[in-house]
Amino acid sequence: MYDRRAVRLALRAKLATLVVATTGSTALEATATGYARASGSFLADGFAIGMEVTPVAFTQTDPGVITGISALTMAIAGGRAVQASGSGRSLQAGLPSRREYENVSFTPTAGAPYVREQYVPGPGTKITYGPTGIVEYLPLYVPQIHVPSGVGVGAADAYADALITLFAPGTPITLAAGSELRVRGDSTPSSGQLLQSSPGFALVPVTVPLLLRTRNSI
Amino acid sequence: MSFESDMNAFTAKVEKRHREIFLGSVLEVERSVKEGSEITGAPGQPVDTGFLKGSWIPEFISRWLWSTSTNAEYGPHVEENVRGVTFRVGGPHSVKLTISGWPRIVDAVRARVVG
Repeated sequence: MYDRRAVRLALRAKLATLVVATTGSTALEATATGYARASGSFLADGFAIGMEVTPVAFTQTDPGVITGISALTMAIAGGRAVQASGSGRSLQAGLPSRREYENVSFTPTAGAPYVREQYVPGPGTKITYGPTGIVEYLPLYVPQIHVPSGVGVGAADAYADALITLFAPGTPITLAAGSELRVRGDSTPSSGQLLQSSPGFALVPVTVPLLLRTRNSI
Repeated sequence: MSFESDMNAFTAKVEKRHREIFLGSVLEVERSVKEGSEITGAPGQPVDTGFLKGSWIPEFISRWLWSTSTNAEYGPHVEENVRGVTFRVGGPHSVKLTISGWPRIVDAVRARVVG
């Protein structure tokens, strides 16, 4: 039986595990303008302007948006609560915390990235005989990452690449027993061109072709 | 009838069917993108002024290479449904669904041609 809500929730759960860039556990300092480090490189870790980062093991743990970056410094919109350098801390850019799910009222925050989700159920066909035969569907999952306009392609490309890696061909998505969902390999995940969307934002769409097999409910 | 003539006849038959499947498949692709398709689940192009739907131009680039494209600047925005619009006719993602459904298009046409 096709439980569309279960499929959607499973895809969202997978999406929430996205990791775009991370410092790993290291010594970091919070400054009035953002973050600083004495060694290593925020750039080499994959961070880019327009990404949202979540701090771990800092006093201030709410996510912030990168507005400037160099190897040793990262500027965050609105600054941070100052905290001296300490080890065992990390910064991670994952799925933006602002999420526009289908049919849920959402207002973007200027300058902050967000993700918009579209689930396209796709056509079905019965592939085995009998009243309770297997029905195969070809849904599409289309997460679109909206990044602030005017910050170049670094953040958008990194989000898109991370999404394509997360949904690598053949990746299984866990569903209830009796149904099988996985990322297709004959038509693989891909990203579209960067498009200007609502004022102040550009978006990069990623398309994840899926294969869903479930038992006919008759 | 010689073995060679049998083989030539068989080759001609296979090539003819191959061509029929190819031509049938590209017609289905065009139908799926523009009009929508029960095979791919594509909704077809939305229609307000009809410009976008009418702007899709199919083209044979070579004997075995075919494409369809639009010069409507807002085509990608409609395809991705950038604004989250509800369409009265047609809808977004028709190109994606057609690409996704390509194996089923070929299967459907092959079944029609070969039986």
